[in-house]
Amino acid sequence: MQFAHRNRLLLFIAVAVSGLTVVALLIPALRAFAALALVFYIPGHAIVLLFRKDTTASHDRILYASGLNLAAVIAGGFFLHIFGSMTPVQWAVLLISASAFAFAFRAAPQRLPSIEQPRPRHTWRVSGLEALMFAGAAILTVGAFAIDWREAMAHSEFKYTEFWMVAEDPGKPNALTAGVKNEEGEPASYDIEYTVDGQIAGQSASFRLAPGEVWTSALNTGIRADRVQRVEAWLFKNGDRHTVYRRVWADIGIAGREDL
Amino acid sequence: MPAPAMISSSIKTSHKLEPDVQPRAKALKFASVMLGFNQTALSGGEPIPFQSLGWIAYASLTASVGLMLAAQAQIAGMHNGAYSLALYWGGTAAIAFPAALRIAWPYTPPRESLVLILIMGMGLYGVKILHSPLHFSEYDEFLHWNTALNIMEEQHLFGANSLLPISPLYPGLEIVATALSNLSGLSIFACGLLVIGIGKVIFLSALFFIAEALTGSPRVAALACIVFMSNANFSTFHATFAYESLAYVLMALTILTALRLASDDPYPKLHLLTGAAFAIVLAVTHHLTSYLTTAFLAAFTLLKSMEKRPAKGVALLALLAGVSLTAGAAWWRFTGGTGSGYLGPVLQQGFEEFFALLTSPGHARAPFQGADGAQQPLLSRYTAIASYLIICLGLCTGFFRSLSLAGGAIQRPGFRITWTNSGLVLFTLLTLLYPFSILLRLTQSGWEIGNRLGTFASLGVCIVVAIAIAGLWQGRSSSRLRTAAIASILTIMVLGGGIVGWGANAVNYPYRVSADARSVEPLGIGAAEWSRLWLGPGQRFATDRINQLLLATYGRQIAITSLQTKAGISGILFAKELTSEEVNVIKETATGYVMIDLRLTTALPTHGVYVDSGEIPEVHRIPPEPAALLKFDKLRGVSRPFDNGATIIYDVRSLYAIRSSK
Repeated sequence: MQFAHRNRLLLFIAVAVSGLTVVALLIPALRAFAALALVFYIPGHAIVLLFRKDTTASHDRILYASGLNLAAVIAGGFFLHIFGSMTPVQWAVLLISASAFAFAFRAAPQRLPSIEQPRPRHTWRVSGLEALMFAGAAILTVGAFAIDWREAMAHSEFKYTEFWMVAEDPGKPNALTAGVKNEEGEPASYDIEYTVDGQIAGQSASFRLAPGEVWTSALNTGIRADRVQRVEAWLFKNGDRHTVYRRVWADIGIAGREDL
Repeated sequence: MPAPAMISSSIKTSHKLEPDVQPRAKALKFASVMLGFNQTALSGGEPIPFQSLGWIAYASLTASVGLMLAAQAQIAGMHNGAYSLALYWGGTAAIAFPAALRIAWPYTPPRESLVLILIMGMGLYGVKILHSPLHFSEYDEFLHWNTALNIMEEQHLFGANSLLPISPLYPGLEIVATALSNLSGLSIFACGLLVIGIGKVIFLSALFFIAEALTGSPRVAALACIVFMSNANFSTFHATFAYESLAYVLMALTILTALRLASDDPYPKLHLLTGAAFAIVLAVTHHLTSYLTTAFLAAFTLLKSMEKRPAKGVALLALLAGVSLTAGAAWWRFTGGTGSGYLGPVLQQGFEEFFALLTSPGHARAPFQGADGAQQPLLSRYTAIASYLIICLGLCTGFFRSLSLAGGAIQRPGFRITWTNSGLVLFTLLTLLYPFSILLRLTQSGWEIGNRLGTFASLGVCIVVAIAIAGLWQGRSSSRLRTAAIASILTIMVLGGGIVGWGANAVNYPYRVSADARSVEPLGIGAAEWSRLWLGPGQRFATDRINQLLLATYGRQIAITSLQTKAGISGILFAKELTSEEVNVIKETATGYVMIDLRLTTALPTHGVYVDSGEIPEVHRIPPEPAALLKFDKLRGVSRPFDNGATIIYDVRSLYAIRSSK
């Protein structure tokens, strides 16, 4: 009777913990922490509890719990591959239910000779200087990553402009779209000139792009899809019409023709 | 037990009768002490109880200063700063030295040692993250990121990965990373960093308890962990998002459970079942590590069964080894023997070059020199050589000492070899692989095998060298000078390992041709992302080694590789004219697009190849001509949809359609 009562209580605790984990997964701020606990510790800890706690040293239990958690996640991946799919919901259901199940069936502690010797409790005192050093360490560490991240984000060794011309719809190879992306690290102005089989077919109005900005335009060249033609686009930068800065082209009506 | 007076008398008598014996006896005694033939226990005082966080706070602070220096080194590298390498290695020393200093003191509390080890390990891992804080950058990371992206998109395992076809068949790492990504909403990159970081904490803790179980000394355990951190892969290859990084965690846990099984633990059930679970998931995580673990378990079982006294747990150990063997063999069969197809040629070529090196040393790869001829700075080279020499000295003075500690003895009559600690014997014998690993690193193809073998051997090396330090170099001395000397030696070892591991790429800037992490930068990433947006994912691309990685991951394209197609695509890129041979390759591989990178024409490849090992040899003497790469400009029917000044994409589908229709 006592045993059944205990099991009911444990099952209630397991359900409550599972519920809290689910809630944590739904709150964005807590989601990462809940996920870390689920992927690295909770199911493994619950599995270790299936065995008698007093049969293993505490550090082994923690290590085994972490390792068994990895094993459970990997095994869970194969399970979902076969019986479901690896979606967030299915992962959450699998890991939470496995933890709850293992926790509900945890082994009863028994009065057996323990392999751990009772250890005296030490009280740690964190002095003011030590607290200051820990705080300094935290600030410096966060600072190091923040500075490195910021500099890496801003760093681009090569300054360049992307220029392209493609048919967005494969069924309409003559409906071309041209695009420019400025990655020069400074604003720049651009001009585009189009030719069809070497004859000037048009040009765009000059436009200016800020760093990272993109310009696209559908070409209205009036070309036919069934004729072999080369549509070429030249990009000029900052008003320099003597230097073709970038060049792209599309050969239209080519596929399957024997007369090339 | 003779009385002291009797011993004294005996020595005097001996001296009188044979005056020439004394120098020989002294020499023998000296050799015996140095090699540790008779060391049966490690001397040392009792560790003091863990009472103060003082050294932990101090080590944390200096480690964070080290991280700041490492960050400044990367920033200096971005701006071509002359002192970037000095800052980098200074930062690494700031992480390693204080922790090593405290651990070298013989009376440091065990738990404090473990915390210091974790601070040092995480500090070194932090340095690796600072190397590339925005995205994956190491070559192998892209291979596994591609598998992880496939899992995220398909929500199932085993999607094809042309970069490394074997990777989806060993998906342990990617399962964990994608599970975390699915649950947390974080990117695969962030999840990869977390998985490898937490894996490192588990690995170092497991290694600490393994060494403690083997030697009974927490001090040796802590020293062993530092020595292990000095292996070339610790803060480089094994800090990357690659399947071997996680496999070593599982391997350490499996070995720990095996040692617990072999001990006098009265409750072996948990150890056996957890060990079996680790061995099984290891089998689906990494092929080579799984095979090495099985071999280790089998050898351990064999040694344990041959121990001097009746050994406990041999049957359970045999069972664990059997589970590991069965799991590895079953997965090998399930994957259709892909592992042998992948590993076989690498091993064969590596060992052929190894034997060629033994017979003709002229075949040796020049150490500390990239394939492009660039050499590492002199100080870096000397530090790395010093690190190797220290390890060799540690092996010389620790090998027999470890065997002696393991109860190793030669029994007369019959010269039967006996021992009482099979685990320590096995770890000591592992060090015999170390010299081979160094020689293999001197070959072109065997380098990869030597690299892997070196890390495996380091599991033994770290314990043997730690025993040499605790048993001879420092002994029980707590003098400040000797403690500081040992800490300095350990720091040099860590620096040397890092130098060998990182090569010339410790600072990730500026760009270099075909230099893996140093070739990954926004221009190439932008081109790959453009291909996904404007051409759509799943197009078949022929391109160079670095753009293959970027196109497959950022672009979600299919990069055509010789690993998948067995066809060499370097001709498509580098041939001066597109002949029928190249067109046939385009046809056979169903290449839709060719991406050329004009930066390849500026230098020889840093890592030896532009595309892969089968590429045309002319391009290894001088860089390819721009005209050769731009040959597609002359071909009617080949469109040029993208140009960013360095990378150009050609649409060769029309060409392929014309040729196939003829």
